[in-house]
Amino acid sequence: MENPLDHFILHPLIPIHLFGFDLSINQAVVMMWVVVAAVSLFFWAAVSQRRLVPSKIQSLAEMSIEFLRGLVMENMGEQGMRFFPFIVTLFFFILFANLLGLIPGTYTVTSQIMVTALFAIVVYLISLVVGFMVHGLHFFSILVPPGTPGWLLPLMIPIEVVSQVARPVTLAVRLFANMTAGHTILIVLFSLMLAGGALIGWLPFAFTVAVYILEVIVAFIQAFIFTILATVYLGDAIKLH
Amino acid sequence: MADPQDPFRQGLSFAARIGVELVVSTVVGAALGYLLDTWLGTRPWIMVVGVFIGAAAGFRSIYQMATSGDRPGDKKER
Repeated sequence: MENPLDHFILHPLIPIHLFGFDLSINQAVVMMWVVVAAVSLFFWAAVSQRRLVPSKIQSLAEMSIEFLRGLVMENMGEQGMRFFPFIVTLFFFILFANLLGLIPGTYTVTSQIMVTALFAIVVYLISLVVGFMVHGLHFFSILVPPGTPGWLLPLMIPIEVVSQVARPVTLAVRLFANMTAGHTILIVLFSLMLAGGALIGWLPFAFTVAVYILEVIVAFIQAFIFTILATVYLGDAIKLH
Repeated sequence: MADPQDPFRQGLSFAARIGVELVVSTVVGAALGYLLDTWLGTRPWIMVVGVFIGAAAGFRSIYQMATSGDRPGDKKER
């Protein structure tokens, strides 16, 4: 049987090496272009005929934008609306990357930890920059939870430092691990079906279908979680507790 | 789009966060300890402390998550 993880290996389609960096165009890069095109197409279709009584795709777009707006308002407040375009872009890129990756034969961009880690680091760096811009050096008090007695400070500050550093790492690892694990399970079950043949192969096939449905739900949920946590982290930086 | 307020969905997203939070916090604690150790030449002591601090940070994150109101079944007015 083929190694179930072979699917995640990137093969350069157009090798490009510039200044010692490997900038080759591989499946993931192509897939990102597809994702960007798909998101653009979705919104283009949604706004192409703006109607008072929205078409299905228009109301879908309106609903998701309204949901994200609620999320930003709740976690970041009025000031956070400056980041609304960023949050919407983040959500739709991750959602479409997850969903399009589920189509057999495509590549799941979010199963590369480099991709998810870059998203997480960018979100976290923005939250640090915003925090220091809004609060100045007072932003360091994010390391002291409100209501901490003084004698606990030597313990709480290291704990808070660790949980701050863990924030971008959890963001990146969660999305990457969920996508990689889900696709690996699908590959393993599907190979079991092929190996099982007509006699017993229907059982792994039933599981493949069930896990596939679960993976569709996971694709939505992971996009939600990433976006929610991005708004929470940015909101923490803006509001400081 | 699927309803994000659906309790099943909220439960799944809550569950999906807990495991990663614990593991990553512990690993980050250990990694920071390891880096400090290499820097100060006190290997392995700060790393040992770091594992516990990391685990504590993980539990704290989960505690915050569980008490902050974004857990399943909580009806928030949006």
